[in-house]
Amino acid sequence: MIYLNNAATSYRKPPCVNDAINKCLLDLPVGQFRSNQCENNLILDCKDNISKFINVKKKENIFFTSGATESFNLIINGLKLNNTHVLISVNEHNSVIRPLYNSKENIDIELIKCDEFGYINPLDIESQIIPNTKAIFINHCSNVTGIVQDINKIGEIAKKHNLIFIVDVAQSLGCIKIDVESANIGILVFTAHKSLMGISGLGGFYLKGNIDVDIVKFGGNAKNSHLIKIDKNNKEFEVGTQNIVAIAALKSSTDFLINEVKLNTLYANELKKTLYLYSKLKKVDNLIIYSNDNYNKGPLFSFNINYLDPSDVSYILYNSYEVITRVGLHCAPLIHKNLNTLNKGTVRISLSYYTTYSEIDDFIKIIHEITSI
Amino acid sequence: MEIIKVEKSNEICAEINWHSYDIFFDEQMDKKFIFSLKKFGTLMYLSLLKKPFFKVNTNEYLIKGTQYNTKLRVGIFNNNIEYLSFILENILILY
Repeated sequence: MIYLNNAATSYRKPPCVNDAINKCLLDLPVGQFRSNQCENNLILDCKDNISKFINVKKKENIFFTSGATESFNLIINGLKLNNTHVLISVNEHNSVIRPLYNSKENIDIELIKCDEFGYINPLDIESQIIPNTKAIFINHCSNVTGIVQDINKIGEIAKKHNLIFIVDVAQSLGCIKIDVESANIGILVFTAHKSLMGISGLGGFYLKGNIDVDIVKFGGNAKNSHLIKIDKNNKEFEVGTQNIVAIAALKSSTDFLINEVKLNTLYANELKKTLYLYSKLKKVDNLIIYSNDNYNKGPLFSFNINYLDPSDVSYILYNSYEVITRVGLHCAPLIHKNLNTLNKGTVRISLSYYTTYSEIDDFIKIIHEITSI
Repeated sequence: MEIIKVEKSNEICAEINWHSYDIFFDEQMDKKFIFSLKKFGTLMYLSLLKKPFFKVNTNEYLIKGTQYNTKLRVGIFNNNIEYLSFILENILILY
């Protein structure tokens, strides 16, 4: 079996992740208060690891949630966007699109100009900024095309116009270098179970200290339990029981990536495999890749094969060749209008640190076989 | 050849309003069985693949699978279950 659906969730995980989960479940939840099943400082140590991936100094500005979707809901509903204008890219996932378009607030949502593959020329953004523009939402690495946006340049524009720059790194954190400081990112949203190789049920966000986000989710957090009314200046976004097992898994996987793989090696490894795969696929007749040589690439592509439905291609790949891919709109509907794939979607393949060249070569042979029928 | 079970697929295609079901058989689907599916509509048969792929497509439903496997997939548009019943009643006739 060849697993090429790492953009949905990464498989395999480092062996230490299994050990961390087992330890977390087996350890006695000692303590007089919440009896968290974890060693001391697990949560802060895990945040410390995340801060190394995004280059932030204050790990206190990182908050854990159940995933990127919850993060975006907390942020969009807490940002006080009523009667403001926001710019979003066509690459946004429904975790951004749906909270915005279903908000009870009156938000003027405008799509950022882009080319046929969804790539944004940062200079184009300036012409779309109006006096009440408050935020720019950018999907760093599209989960459909794999195209990577120039967040450093977009961040410069956001800073120049005093806009909140909100970046979705669900597909890029753990495989592409990200620097919150140099990109002027105000809010960064991540998930644990993709390239960071943690498990599902955990994500989070980084919030720059000066950005005012109201708390919209309330509950217990073992602090100041006598207070019923919460001071909104306290950024108590983490309420309810934390997903300690997933945090233990993420701590372990990020320890592995930082200390054993090393981040520069990790990023180079994924880029090298991505470019190798792309260089081979782009030569295949009857294969339409929704990207080209001009773009920076994350470790995933979408494609279609002439004369075949994408759902059939994905079905054939799994049932005839034991290759796992994803088909459809990938929960990011807006980009498909650009790609002219709104009707049937695309087939998506996505690599991970553990994908081997042997698997990539086998996949390329399979694609040649299917496209030559 | 007998139908063992029918399951609603966990691989939903509900994004585009197709709902899928898997039909499991007690033996592998051979070429004779696959060609008997012409009774439901135009048959596509891709013989050169490692495991040949077949598909019957209509506006209301589709049937697809791969030769030598023991299950096939039925997609029903708008989840109109009458079409699934029709397929189940007729799929083994003339085979």
